[in-house]
Amino acid sequence: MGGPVVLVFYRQLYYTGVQSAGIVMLLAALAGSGFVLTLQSSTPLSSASVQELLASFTAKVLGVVLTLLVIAARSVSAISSELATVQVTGERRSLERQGVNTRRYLLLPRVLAPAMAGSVLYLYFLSTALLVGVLMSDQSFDLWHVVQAFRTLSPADVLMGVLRTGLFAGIALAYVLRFVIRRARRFPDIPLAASNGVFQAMLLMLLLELFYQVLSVLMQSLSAVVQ
Amino acid sequence: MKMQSSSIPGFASGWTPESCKKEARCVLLLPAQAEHFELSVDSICELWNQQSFRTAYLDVKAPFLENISILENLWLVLANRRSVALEQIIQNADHLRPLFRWSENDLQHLLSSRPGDLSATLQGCAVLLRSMLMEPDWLVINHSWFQRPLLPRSQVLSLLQHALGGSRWLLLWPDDQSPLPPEVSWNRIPLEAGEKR
Repeated sequence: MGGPVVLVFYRQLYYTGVQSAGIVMLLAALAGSGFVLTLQSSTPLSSASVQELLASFTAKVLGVVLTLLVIAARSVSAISSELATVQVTGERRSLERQGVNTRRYLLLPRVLAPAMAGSVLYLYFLSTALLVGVLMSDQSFDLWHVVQAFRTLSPADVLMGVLRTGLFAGIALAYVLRFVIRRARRFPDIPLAASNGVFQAMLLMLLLELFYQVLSVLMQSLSAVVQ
Repeated sequence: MKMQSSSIPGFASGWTPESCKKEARCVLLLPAQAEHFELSVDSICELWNQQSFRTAYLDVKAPFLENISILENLWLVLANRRSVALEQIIQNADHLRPLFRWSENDLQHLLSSRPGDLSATLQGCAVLLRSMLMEPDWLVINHSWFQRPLLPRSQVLSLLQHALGGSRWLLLWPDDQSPLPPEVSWNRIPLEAGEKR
């Protein structure tokens, strides 16, 4: 059954990773420029400091949160309504009667592909926000400043961002597909399943991110106390 | 093909799917109440799919996923049992084309269409085509296939006899005294005393 599963996986990868890239980059450009302009107009910080702050904040929080929200708004809603329809029309039952492993065919690629695509989207977000933010901050459009800003990024922060985005997207989708879709019994349940799916996925993603942030602050405080 | 010879719980002792002779036409009477009937069909299909023989399933309700083409629908079910390439499915379907009196274009149109774009008759043909491509040892037929046919009953039976006559058939029928399809001599499968699956 590898073939059909792989095909669905590639389709989902394309839908989430490629077709969502534009909206993620637009959001990143808005966030990056907004961050820089707000900071420069309200504080006496130098351009270099603002760029450093932008790199750190985007890599640590903004990139993960906004990428996850795009995944929830676009992929979770589409996948939820698609699978709720499959459930309500009896297509899932029919597949199971033909011996098809529906978890493997319907669920697995729809969890793994958006999770993988989420990690890549995070990198798009980070690069675009930084690029636009740096160009807006000094308005010299000097590429050397862009390179310098990218060099201020901590590889550990970027790696954690990539892992978190993928992991949280995967966990949220798995939860939605496991607990929300199965409740759909009749046709009016389909839009409800989609909106509940998006809402619960967003909530779960944000809670996981909050938990991670609190945990990392605690760890830092603990290591400071130990030292 | 190697067949399992263990008896199945709920069925009369000594009766196993493989104890049926080839070309057997069996009927299993299931609880008539819709919900119980559907649950029983789920169990029977699960049981049959667990065996080592190849099973095809005929039903008129939601036979295909609506968001992929018929070809991918065929591939999805066929690839579940053995590794098979899309091109192989097209080739095999082409061999069966004369049975349905289709031209090459007709077949191409059918395979590339989504289920919702096809008429009920063509959907019925596509379901039959899928079962034929499966080359099943057992053909499990839901009662709706005869009670709400997508194709004229005579055509269904002649196609079934012609292309799947060598398989064993298992008709899942509600135990509500409604008459069985008369053109076939059905053998009722014995159940354990007091057992209704």
